[in-house]
Amino acid sequence: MNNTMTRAATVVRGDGLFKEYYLGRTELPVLKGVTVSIRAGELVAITGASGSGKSTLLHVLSGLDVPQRGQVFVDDAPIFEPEGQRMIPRPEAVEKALNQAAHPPRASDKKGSGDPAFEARRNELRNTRFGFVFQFYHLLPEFDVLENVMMPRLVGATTSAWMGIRAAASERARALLERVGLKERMRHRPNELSGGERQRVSIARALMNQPTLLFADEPTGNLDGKTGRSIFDLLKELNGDGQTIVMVTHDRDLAAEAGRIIHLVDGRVESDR
Amino acid sequence: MASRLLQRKRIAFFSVGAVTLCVAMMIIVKSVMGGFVDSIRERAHGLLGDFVVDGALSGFPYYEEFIVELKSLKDERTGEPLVAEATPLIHSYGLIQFPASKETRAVAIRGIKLDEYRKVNEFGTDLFYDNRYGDTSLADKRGRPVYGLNENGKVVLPGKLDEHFAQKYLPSLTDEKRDETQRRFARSEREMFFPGPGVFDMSSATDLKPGYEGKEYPGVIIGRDVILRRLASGEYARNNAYAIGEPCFITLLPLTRSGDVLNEPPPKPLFRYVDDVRTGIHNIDSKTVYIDFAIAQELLQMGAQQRVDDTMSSPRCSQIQIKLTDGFGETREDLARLKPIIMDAFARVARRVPADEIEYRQLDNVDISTWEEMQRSFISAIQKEEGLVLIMFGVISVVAIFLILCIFYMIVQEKTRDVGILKSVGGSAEGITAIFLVYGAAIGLVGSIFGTILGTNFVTHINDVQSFLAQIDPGLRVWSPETYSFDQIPSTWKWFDVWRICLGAIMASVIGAAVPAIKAGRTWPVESLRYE
Ligand SMILES: Nc1ncnc2c1ncn2[C@@H]1O[C@H](COP(=O)(O)OP(=O)(O)OP(=O)(O)O)[C@@H](O)[C@H]1O
Ligand SMILES: [Mg+2]
Repeated sequence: MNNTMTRAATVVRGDGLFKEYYLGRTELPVLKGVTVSIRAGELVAITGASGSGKSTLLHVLSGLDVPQRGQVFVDDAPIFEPEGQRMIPRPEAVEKALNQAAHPPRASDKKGSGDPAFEARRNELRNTRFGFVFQFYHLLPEFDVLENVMMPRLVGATTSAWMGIRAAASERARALLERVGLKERMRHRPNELSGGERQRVSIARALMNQPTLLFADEPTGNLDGKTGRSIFDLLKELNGDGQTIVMVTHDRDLAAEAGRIIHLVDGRVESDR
Repeated sequence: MASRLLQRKRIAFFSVGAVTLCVAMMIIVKSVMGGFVDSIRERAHGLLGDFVVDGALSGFPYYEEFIVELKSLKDERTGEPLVAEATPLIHSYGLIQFPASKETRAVAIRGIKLDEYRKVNEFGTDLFYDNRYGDTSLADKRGRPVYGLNENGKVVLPGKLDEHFAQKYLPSLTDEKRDETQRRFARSEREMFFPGPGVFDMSSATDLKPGYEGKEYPGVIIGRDVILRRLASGEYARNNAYAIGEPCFITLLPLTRSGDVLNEPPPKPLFRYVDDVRTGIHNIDSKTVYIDFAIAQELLQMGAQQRVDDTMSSPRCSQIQIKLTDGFGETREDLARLKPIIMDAFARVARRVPADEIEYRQLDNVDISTWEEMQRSFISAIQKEEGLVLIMFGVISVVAIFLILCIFYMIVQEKTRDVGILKSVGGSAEGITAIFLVYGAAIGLVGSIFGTILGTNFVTHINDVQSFLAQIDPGLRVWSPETYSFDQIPSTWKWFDVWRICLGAIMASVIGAAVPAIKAGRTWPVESLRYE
């Protein structure tokens, strides 16, 4: 490949991702072999019908969830343990049964987080490299806006280091809140804010540790057109400053403005342009 | 962090409340039940001395020789005498009847040597008249002491009694108590207030001398609940119906040497009520009277008797109580060490004495027990009581711990979504688990502190609580002295128990928080986030 020079570096690459949910006896395949790579500076919109696996893909790429097959690479290093490898070997009979399944599940299934070394790496990535904006905000109701925004910084440090970093963290959190236009609401609790305001808080939180990659799962999905638009403008503005963003959206108009659209149909990438 | 994450949650208050109640409940149950068993043990020790040598109802002979042998026992290391005092007792049953009221009651009769008996155990500590006026004696024949006027026209008792009251009893009281006592027992020139020896109507007399009145009879000490009515306040209502010196008949039931009832009509001599006693065990205080050992021995025909071969048999007693010298037998181990020494002494005496066939059998029937062993038969309930306490306490502990576990499980469960959020911003499973552990420990600690305050205060004031309840409705009086041997609910608690209970509560809280926290920490963030 001689175009690596012209192309920006790959931030995250999903390779042959399979994911299925088990509902009792029945299996529900959600991702059926998705391969995508996200390069630095892109604004990627993921579209697709409801249930096509957009959220699932985002979760898997960001290490919030685990695929049964396939691997996600960040900096060319895997974030999930290799398939079939386990710290503690499974009983033979169980192993055999699993191998006969349509998609033999990865060792680290949902019952646990698997290999501690990979778990630690994922924690590290989620904390410092990725930011995640959820459709339903997911703010901590017991903390005020400022503390919510500071949370990634606090969580990443040991308790004893809090005192030292608190001032700097608070400084940055204020700046971010100012940026998203919530300077006045810093001491409010999340439940005292409107949906759009909450989404801004959660964007500020996602940006707290200067992530290389911002995931946003339908950040405008719960908002009216105007508010959604302003959130999207904010994201675009961030992208203009060089922030890589992967965003799930149903809104065709918004998607059209993104630099790249990945369209999912039934767990597969149908188009990518 | 932990406090912020979980603050302003009503459930936190509930959980503190629940831990508080559990801890308080455990402290109350443990203190009352344990206190009950402890006070039975204490009382039993107070009533039995250190060792008890127990024979059958027909008694055992050669006790005098044995007591001499006991008193000559020396500690092998220091050469100190082992036995401070040993006193014989006679147990029998009979009837007591006050001619004045024609009231007859069945009672257990104890023949005791009062002076020795009160040295061996704590019998003397609650002799009502003896504490106030001194001079209580069983063997001396006496009339009824009455008030009279001294040369100055003041109301006084016979010299010795009055002196004791004024010079020994009153100074021994606290100022407050003394004032109260003087007020209650104030003796004005013309009238006499109860209680006190010799209720005497002096309204018509002017030249009465203090002294003793009526025929002289030997004394009887009566269990307080036999003659006095206990008030709800815990005091005893003293009235003029049975004043000190009141004569009463005691019907005794002599047995022959071989344990048969005699054919003659039972003796029914007159005694004078010289004092009443309270051991604190209702069962004893409501059923027992005490007379002099020698008198009892003679009336019950347990003195020396002529054998068929014209030799004399030995006098008999029913029991010997032994008090060890201070410093001996203070632990169970030391008692166990000393027991064989005492048994040996008994065996030596039994081999030496010229016992006949019946006497040998009586000696054979003798049991030597430590006070702890004795108390088991002494109040037969205690064995069951202790087992019951253990089982009930076990059940309650399990319930309390389970409750705390449940509460924490629910709290952490409720926080599952927050766990997911924290993980999604990079929190590690260990960090999140630690937060909940700190939280659990904090709740456990706070709950334990409140629970300790609540529980210990409740235990301390438990008798007040009961009086209060009984005021509202007498049916709410849960503790009745008749059923529970003690007239007060045990109201002491031990730090040792409190520590153990608090530690258990904190551990239950931490474990209760840890299990779901570890589970939540290990779940994939998406799973936790989806949790509603
Ligand atoms: N925990 C789960 N258990 C079972 N099925 C699940 C679970 N999570 C998701 N699914 C299923 O997986 C499929 C894909 O879900 P996903 O959330 O990725 O869809 P989506 O494309 O984001 O849809 P939407 O646009 O409505 O958000 C859905 O059919 C959903 O029912
Ligand atoms: Mg979705």
